Amino acid sequence: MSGLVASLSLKEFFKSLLGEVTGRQRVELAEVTEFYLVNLLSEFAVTDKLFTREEDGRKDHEPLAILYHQALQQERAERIRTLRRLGDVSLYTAGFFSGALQSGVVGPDYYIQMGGTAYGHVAELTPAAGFAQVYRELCEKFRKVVEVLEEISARGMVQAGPSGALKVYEAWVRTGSDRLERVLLDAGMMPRPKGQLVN
Amino acid sequence: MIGRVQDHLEAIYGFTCEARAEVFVVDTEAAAQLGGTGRADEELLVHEAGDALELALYLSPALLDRLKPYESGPLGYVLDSDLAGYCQLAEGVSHFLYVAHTAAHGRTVSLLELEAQAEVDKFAVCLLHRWGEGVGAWARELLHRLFERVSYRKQLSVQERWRYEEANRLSRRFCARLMGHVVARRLDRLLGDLRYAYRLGAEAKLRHFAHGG
Repeated sequence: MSGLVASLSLKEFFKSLLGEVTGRQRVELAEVTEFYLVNLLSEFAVTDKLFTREEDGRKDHEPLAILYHQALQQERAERIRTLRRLGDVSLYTAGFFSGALQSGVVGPDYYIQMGGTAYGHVAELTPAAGFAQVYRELCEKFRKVVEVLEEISARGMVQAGPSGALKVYEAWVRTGSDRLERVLLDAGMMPRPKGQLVN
Repeated sequence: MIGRVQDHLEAIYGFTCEARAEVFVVDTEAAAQLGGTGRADEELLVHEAGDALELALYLSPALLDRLKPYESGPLGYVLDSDLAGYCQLAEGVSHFLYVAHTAAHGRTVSLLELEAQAEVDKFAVCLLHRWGEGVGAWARELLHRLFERVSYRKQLSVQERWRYEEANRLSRRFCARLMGHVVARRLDRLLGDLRYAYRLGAEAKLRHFAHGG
């Protein structure tokens, strides 16, 4: 079940995985939006960007409500940065940690709501900028993009080794998700029903 | 690698142990001071002090050196190159996790139970590394290599020798009974049986391994 990622770079790896998964889920995204997502995935995968540092050095998540409140107090340029971070953190967290969010105080829907709204605000604040269409598209398709990231996360966990694969299996048992079932079938964790072809 | 094996065992048995085995690893000198025999590459050292249970896990420098090349890559490679070394490390982590888990539930553990569970754990961990197409052949190879092609250290006492052989016999019977789930790739049933047996207490576990009753 283990396999090396044979890719020249993390960005190329995510670009190919994103293309594969959006194609499978029939989610159409503008090229510039895909570019934005590839950068986001690569940055969060190799840095601590998802977290903030506490005074005692501990890493922690910023509560989304505090980020939002902070954005409301800021000037335009700062506000755009904070709202964009709110969108990015919400998107990544809802996509990659949906299992943990299910049992958390706030569920994935809260992140989807907050993140989508944040990207919408960024699009309004930057109508003339080139990236406005990216934020608009991420706002409109936030839930679909979360589902794309969920599948990317699951495929990554299955590739990482048996304990990751078992976590995906447990999540599938808990949720009955067709997407996770497809990931497990593709990884050979379960036999395909007779007559079912690999797509 | 110690942490990855613990993660793997916890994923198989469906629980999380707050104590991390790698934190309890001691070197040769410390192991000797704590009463380790130094006869094996892995030893779990247990000391009961009133209500408290103190644990230390000894893994020989030679064993850790052997496994170092496989630290960063996929663990699947070590199964081809050094299955015996990987299984020794897995056995140490298995002992640590089982004692910690049973202590948390207020149960005591017999040495036979500990050894038999470790044999099952080694089979389960290696099996799931290659779960997928062709896992049946891999499982048969594991049964042969882990339970039939075994040898015991010459310096074992009669009692120790009996315990290892008995643990091998009991766990082999249990693992052989799992083959139906393996061949059908029924992960749900495999995990269900493994988890049920793991949570059984001493006598019940050994009976279950032997007869499935």
